[in-house]
Amino acid sequence: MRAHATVAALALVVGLAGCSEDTPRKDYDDYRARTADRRANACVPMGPPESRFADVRGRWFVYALLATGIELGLRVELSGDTSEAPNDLQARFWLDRADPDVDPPLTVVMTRVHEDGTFVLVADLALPPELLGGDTTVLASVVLAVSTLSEHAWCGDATGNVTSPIVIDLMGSTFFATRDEVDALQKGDIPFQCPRVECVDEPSSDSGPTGDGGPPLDGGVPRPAAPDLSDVASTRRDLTGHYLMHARLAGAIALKLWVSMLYAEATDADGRVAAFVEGSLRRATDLPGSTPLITFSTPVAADGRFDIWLPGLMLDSPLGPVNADILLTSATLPVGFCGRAAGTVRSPITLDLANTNFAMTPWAPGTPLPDPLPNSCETAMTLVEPPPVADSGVADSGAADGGAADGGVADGGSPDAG
Amino acid sequence: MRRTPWMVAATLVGAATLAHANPFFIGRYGGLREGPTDPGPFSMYWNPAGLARPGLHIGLHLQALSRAATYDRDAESNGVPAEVADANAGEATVSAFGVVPAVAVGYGFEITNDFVMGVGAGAFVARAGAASWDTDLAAPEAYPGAVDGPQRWAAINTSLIIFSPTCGVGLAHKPSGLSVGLAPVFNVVTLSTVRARNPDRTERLFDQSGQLAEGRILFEDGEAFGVTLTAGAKWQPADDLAFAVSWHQGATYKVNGNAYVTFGVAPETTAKAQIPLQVPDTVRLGADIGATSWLVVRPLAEWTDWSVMDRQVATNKANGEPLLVIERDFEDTLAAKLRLDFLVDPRWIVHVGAGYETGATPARTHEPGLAESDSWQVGAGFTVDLSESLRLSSSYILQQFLDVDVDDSLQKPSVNGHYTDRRQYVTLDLEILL
Repeated sequence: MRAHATVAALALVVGLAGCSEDTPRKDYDDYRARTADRRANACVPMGPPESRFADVRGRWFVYALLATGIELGLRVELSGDTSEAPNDLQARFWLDRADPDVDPPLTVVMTRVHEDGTFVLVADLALPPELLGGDTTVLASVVLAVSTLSEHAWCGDATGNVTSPIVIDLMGSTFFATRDEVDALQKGDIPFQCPRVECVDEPSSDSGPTGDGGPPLDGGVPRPAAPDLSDVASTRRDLTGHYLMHARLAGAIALKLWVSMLYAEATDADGRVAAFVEGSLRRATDLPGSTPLITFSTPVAADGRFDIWLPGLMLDSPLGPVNADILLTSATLPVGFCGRAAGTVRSPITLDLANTNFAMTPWAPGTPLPDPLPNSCETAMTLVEPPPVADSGVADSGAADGGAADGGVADGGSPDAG
Repeated sequence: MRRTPWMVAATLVGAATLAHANPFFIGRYGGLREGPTDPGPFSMYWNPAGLARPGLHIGLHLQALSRAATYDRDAESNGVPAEVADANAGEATVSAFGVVPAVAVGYGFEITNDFVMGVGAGAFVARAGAASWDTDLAAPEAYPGAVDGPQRWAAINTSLIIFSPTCGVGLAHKPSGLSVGLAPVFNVVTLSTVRARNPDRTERLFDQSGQLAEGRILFEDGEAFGVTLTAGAKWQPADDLAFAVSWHQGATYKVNGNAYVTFGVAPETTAKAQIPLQVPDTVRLGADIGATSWLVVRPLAEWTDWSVMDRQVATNKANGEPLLVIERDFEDTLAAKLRLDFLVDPRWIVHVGAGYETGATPARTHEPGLAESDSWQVGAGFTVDLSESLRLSSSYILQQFLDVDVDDSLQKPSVNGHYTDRRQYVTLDLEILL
């Protein structure tokens, strides 16, 4: 009777919604159809980078991006008696907001680090509602397949399932870990995935934001030709660290940004070393742990040159939001790195970024600006050691001399018409 | 029998202290002839005490209804970044048109010289809601979810129908003019709804890797069944004076259906899900007062126990864990209406009416889905006797909801902004008397 009555009810309500085909199911299916390409083309690493054995005992910060869009920060302590392979270690997990020196771990598991540096961490996690902004504790069984990049970094793919409140397959999740003995790192401070050596359906170079990878956010932005940087000597080296980027876009907009870089090398089966940098951009006034404006990942050539493609970069400025598509072609210097930019500022004014120079100078976030603060390869190449900080002017003062010299407002990455 | 003005005034004041305002209530049987004193076939719905009337009565009802509503999602108060304002802020519109039929049959007979018994049956859709928000064809292509409008985090498309086959019995004591009635109502609930949803209840469009974060949750094929009662009494001491009260029992339906969830780029997942649907008790009072030989004044009052709907939590039936939480905090509602019937001709009656209803939804839980503010309504209509056995009625009713500005939304994501809502009803009732 129930089924018949239901049918009768639906038949009675003729066109109540205005159109019998306009159903919730149709809207749901339409959305899945509209986003099918984004799921199909989602950048899923096909395998871990070359792993090598290293002593990974110690305290780590793990930044994971689950396939559901959930960001997860974990603190993991690996402990054991020996540094030799194979190495049986105990892994203790905490949420990123916990204090491992005081709080009990979420879970404790055992793992074995193999001769090639790979190991697997299987953790059943109970994530409290407030962590995810939800209504219930989320239970997840997460399998972290780890490849060791160095004694300072490991990464890999995460699989498993969210088991409650609803079963969700975590296939496609990624993570990256770096040493953090003082528990200072937060989500967004480090990459969330391995350097992308392989990726299914890698987006074309003219697809949009997310740095050098990922699907377009803006419908596709053409990537400009890389500026010529052959006149600048470059040698590959570890670029891990924080930098202050100083540029004058098209000679008109002074720009200072905080750039965090993590450099990693992986050796392929043929013995060739592939190098990558993972990085993030923030305003120079941002506090450690703040959400980056954008993240990027890019390979570094054998001579230390690399490109950073930043389509759809959004910045606040006194003139309103600045929207730009910027390609930074870089060369590695003995101190910092530098390069030339191409691309377009789309708003608040349209500017072709041809002939734009920039320099990245080592810097500790939150400290006064370096002095001198080069803004081109020509000036940066003169540095033989990291510059001392200036006596006057702080990162957020808006009065740093570098910016003032440009005629712009150097208020921590807030561009201004110069 | 002529009523004195103070009697009319007293009745009106009494009515004005009561109320009615009913989210997803569309019952307009008899148009402006509605109410617990209705002696027509649709007393089956309004008050089964009216079934106790000799003869065979067949009522055919057709209602055309339209709705036009807007929601302007404010970027600032909802914390929408400027770069995604085109996708998550701005005005959304919904318009709907539908035709809803109903049927009722009653048969009454004298069982003694003093008593009349009536039985009846009918089928109604008294509560239903269908809202498919307009697509935003100007939405940026870069944000594939935005085409469903900035209201999508609360509602994209919902279809709710409570189909209610009913039977009933009424008994009248002619000497006293008192009649009573009782009707069991067999309610069949169907519900499907879809909205945008992220697992962390944010309105994030892309994740840190630039990959799609926005998701959808579809609750489909939801069904529930429940039996409720309608009971009423009517006292008619004179031909031109009647008082009536009716009670419609509420229920909490456990609507069982299937949940389909797409989060970001993760594979689709499904689960058996259950969502409660609270339908409140309703008490209606009404009177027919013959003020003059050509004017009948009919005050109506209604109270609805909407405070039963505090929140709706859709749960995964496999483990009881919540999948979706919607804050409601509804308040009981009151309504007062006044109907005037002008007997302009032995065959013709002209109806006019007006009323005011308090809304069930406080501003903090107002949202583009299930929510209603205070409203006023006006209407006009007529009844004509086409023959001794055929009567036709028609009414037009305009219901205008007061605009709502929300700046303290409890929903996640928040749905602060400006809301408007207007509904119009045209009813056509054919009564066959045999």
